[in-house]
Amino acid sequence: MTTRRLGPPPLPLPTALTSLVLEVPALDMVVQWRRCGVVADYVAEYLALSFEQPSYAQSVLSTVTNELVENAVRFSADKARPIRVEALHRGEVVELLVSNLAAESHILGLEALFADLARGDLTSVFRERVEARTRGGLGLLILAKDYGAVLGAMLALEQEARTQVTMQVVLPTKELSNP
Amino acid sequence: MKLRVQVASTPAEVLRCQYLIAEVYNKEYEVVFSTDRYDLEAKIEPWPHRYFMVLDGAELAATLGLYQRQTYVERFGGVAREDIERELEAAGVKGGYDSSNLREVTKIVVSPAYRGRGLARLMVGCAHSRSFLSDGGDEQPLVVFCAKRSIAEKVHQAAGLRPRRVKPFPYYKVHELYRSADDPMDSYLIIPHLDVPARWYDLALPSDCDTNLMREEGA
Repeated sequence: MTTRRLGPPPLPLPTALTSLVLEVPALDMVVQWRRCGVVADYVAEYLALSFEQPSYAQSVLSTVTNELVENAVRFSADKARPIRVEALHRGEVVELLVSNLAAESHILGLEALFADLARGDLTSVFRERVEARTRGGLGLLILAKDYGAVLGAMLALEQEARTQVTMQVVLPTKELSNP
Repeated sequence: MKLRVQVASTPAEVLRCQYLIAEVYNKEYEVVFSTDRYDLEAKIEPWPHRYFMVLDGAELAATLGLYQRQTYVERFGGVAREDIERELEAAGVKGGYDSSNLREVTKIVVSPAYRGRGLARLMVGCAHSRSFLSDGGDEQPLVVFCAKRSIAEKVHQAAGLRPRRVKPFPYYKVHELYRSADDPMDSYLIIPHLDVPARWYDLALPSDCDTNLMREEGA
């Protein structure tokens, strides 16, 4: 199996203190789209209990998780295959990993997005993408621009031009406290 | 092919219909569904209220839905009561129907394994049974639907129905993979006692059907 990474090299992360793993069939969420929010809220509430300001942390974590889960479902190439959500509270950071099987067209979109992210000026990148009406990626850009999230994607090529994508979002815990 | 047609009446039957519709609509049109919200720009569609099943033994071969209120053509198609009244007057039946009592046949899906055998025509014909449209009551609702012209022609008209084109359906992102400039969408009205053949309107449900019957009748 061929694997590669999009985004900056992986950071050395502290050991997980609290963790949660969920698997849900993508088709369940296609049938009831609100389930994306239900999963996001559940993950967020589970992790937020460890924060001094749980309601603020929960709100941010729910927003971030919902973006990842909705993308994973929308771009899932096999809706019968489960979406895997892994949430890890590592003390200084929270790491979210969401996996799905993606078609080649989605990989091309991700490559373009990470090339834009690497340019650094996220406000300009965001504006350009809105003006160009570039489909997809705006939600992920907002996570990086507004929440200080570090984004990465692990790609593992499977059969028939399909790739297992694991989106990684690392959020500094200071971003999860109300300023 | 011998088939059973019936109304989905149990929670399990409704779920089976929803999963088949969701699987096909998501794969072909990237649509997702919700009971309590819709956003046609985000491709989130509202679920119908009632479902019709075509069964090959235990296998769900085809299904469609029915909006019993807040029809799609009213909410998104811009069809107003005056549009319906105008059509009723043109048909010479003004006053014979309540122009606000609409049902909408929608989300016509044939399982990929059963395509090319005339199931869509058979199902759409059977679904214009009074017992599906009016839920067993005495009321006589009008029927509306929105579809691209090729579907109105190759499915509805081919089933013997006589849909009346009301107005063009506005463009929404949710239909970007469905409609095209060559095959635009419209809203249609069906006046049951004028536009639905008795063999469909009086069909008792559940019922056993044969796809060969459609061919023999030339429908």
